[in-house]
Amino acid sequence: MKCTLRENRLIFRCIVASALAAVPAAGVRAQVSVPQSYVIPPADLACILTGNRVDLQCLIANDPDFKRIRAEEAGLFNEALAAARSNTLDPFHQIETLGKLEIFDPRLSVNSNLACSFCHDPAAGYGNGASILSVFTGGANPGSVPITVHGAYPNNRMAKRNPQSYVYSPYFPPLQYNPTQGDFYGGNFWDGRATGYRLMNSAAEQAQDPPVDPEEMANPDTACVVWKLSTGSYKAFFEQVWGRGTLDIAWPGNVATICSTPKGAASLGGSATPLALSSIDRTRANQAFDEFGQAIAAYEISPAVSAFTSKFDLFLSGNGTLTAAEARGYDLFRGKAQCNTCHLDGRSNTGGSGAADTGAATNVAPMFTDFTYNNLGLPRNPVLPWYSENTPDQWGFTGNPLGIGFTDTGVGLFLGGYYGPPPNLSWGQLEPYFEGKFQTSTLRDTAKVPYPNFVKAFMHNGYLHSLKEVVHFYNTRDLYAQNVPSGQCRVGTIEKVTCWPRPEDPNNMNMVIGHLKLTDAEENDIVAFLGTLNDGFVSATPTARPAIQRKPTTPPPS
Amino acid sequence: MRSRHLILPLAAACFVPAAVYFALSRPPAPPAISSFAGPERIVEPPELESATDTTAFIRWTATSVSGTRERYGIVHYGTAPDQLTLSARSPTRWNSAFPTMVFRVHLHGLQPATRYYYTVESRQAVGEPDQLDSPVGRFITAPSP
Repeated sequence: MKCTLRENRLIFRCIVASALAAVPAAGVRAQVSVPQSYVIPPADLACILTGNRVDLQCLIANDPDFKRIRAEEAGLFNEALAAARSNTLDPFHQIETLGKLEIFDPRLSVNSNLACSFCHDPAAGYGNGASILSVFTGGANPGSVPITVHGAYPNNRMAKRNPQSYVYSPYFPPLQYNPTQGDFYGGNFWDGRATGYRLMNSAAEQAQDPPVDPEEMANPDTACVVWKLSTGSYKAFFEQVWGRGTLDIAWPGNVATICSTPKGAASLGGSATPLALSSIDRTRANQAFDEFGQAIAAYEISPAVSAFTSKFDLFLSGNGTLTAAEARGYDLFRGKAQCNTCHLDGRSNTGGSGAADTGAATNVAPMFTDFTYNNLGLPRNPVLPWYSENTPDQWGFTGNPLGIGFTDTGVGLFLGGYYGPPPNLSWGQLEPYFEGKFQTSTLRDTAKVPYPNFVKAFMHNGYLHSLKEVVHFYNTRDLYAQNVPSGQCRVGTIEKVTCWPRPEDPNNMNMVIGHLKLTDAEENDIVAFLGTLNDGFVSATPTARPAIQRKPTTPPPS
Repeated sequence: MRSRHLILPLAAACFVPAAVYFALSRPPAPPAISSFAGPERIVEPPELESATDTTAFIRWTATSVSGTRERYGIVHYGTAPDQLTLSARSPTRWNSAFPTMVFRVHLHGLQPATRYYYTVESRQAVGEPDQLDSPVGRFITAPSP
């Protein structure tokens, strides 16, 4: 293992050489870099293949993070099921609990082996929860469908991006183009394609996508999700929330066969609705699928996920203080570093002009995003298995026919028709202005990790592995720019330290960032401040409030 | 404006009173927003921030910034000062708390060891270009490594 001391003396970077020993001749090769603190778990060592690839089936069976996530998942599902069966929940908590059941229910995937929470680990801020994936797959997670074609890499269908956290996602408004600002606001997903236009709820529509994404939960028909709900342990609770008879649908005799066939299978003939339902039952199934998504959004907006209990929230309330480093970081965040140009913090702004900050909170629930989209100029992350998914799996499905030739243009994919025409056809003409852009994520809970030394994947492609790297990238992207592919920085420079390879898509690259002239200590202060945005600093349980002195009521006339 | 000039003779020929014509053809008045402070003014002239063999960053600072939050810096460039036939545009975002705004434009696909000339302008995300008085600058890319 070759390690290089980073020039600022804070971060070591190691090149995992063990897996480079014998590189096969064909296919995508990627150099893997990890923080020095990371040690490949012994249980995973046998899962590391040549060429820095990983045996997904081996990891699914052995990786300690995967085991932790599944244990948490089972515990939270059972907790929700007990609450649902308690008959003590008011309507408000019923729908939240239903969403919780759905999110932690692996039955809702085609092979009944993958819950939403597998890729959205609560302990990791509802993003990727497996260090091994952050390092070797850019945080991209395996889906429900193993790939059994001999010699195929990856040996499991894999999502094409690092899963985006869904904390506070219901606070993102439905996607709209603002003609006065010439900008898009709102939506869910890295590329905004969960517009929310139909349900007027972006998070609910986002929740409807992974269950039928062939790379993720892979159900072949949205009605298959409804069928599983109608045969599951909380069917009665679903109908308690949405109405008796909601799931009364006449299912065809082959429902079990169809619903265990992964989406994209050649045998389905390309149909998005292979389940043969009457028009009335199809309408009912569509409605129940909408309700499925709405319940998930209800859980996501609940205090269990979007809590407003961070140290910064306490500070905003005037009841908490920041440490010296956090306070310096906050001043930089809204000053020299200009982070709050996009990550709105709800506070008055000193603007670096010396103007007095009144300290008054203009918004006591800031989202730390302006809901827009930007191209940060991130280099391609060649470890994403997506680039290798260019041959048919045993079902005849090819996830990425372009292979390494695929360029992730973010909103450009959405507006350009990659997923089909955008719902507002006039948006298509805006594609040149939004190519390469990805959603400005909230910074809330971005620093949350399940345990010390956990390696988190940041950004849509998981290219960055720590908040220090993120801030350093914003600070020096253009200072250390090299016109080289990822993994091929010139001799004498260190990738992610003194070298940033060329962007995957150079068009529309945001120029607020790139040369912020921050010192190493200032970068560290900003990282310290970001840590104050983790929820859980204060209790989410309503606390005692001051007693209210009520006027004595006038006794009624006798 | 162009269509007005084209239509005016026709309107006069049709004996439409000029006042009526202009009332009909005038574009809607922009909303009266006091923060639209007028044209930008360059306070730090365009300069080369850095360059490699194939890329360059041009930056300048403007004041009296107003308008849409997303804005574009645009560099017109070429290998002769009177032939700035190429252009590059980079979006940036205006933070209204700052009295000035730094525009930076990323040029890529340049030739190594080549002298380039350039001028700059800026645009809002929608609407008219900002009025800048940009000098012609020049820079040389690095030789191939």
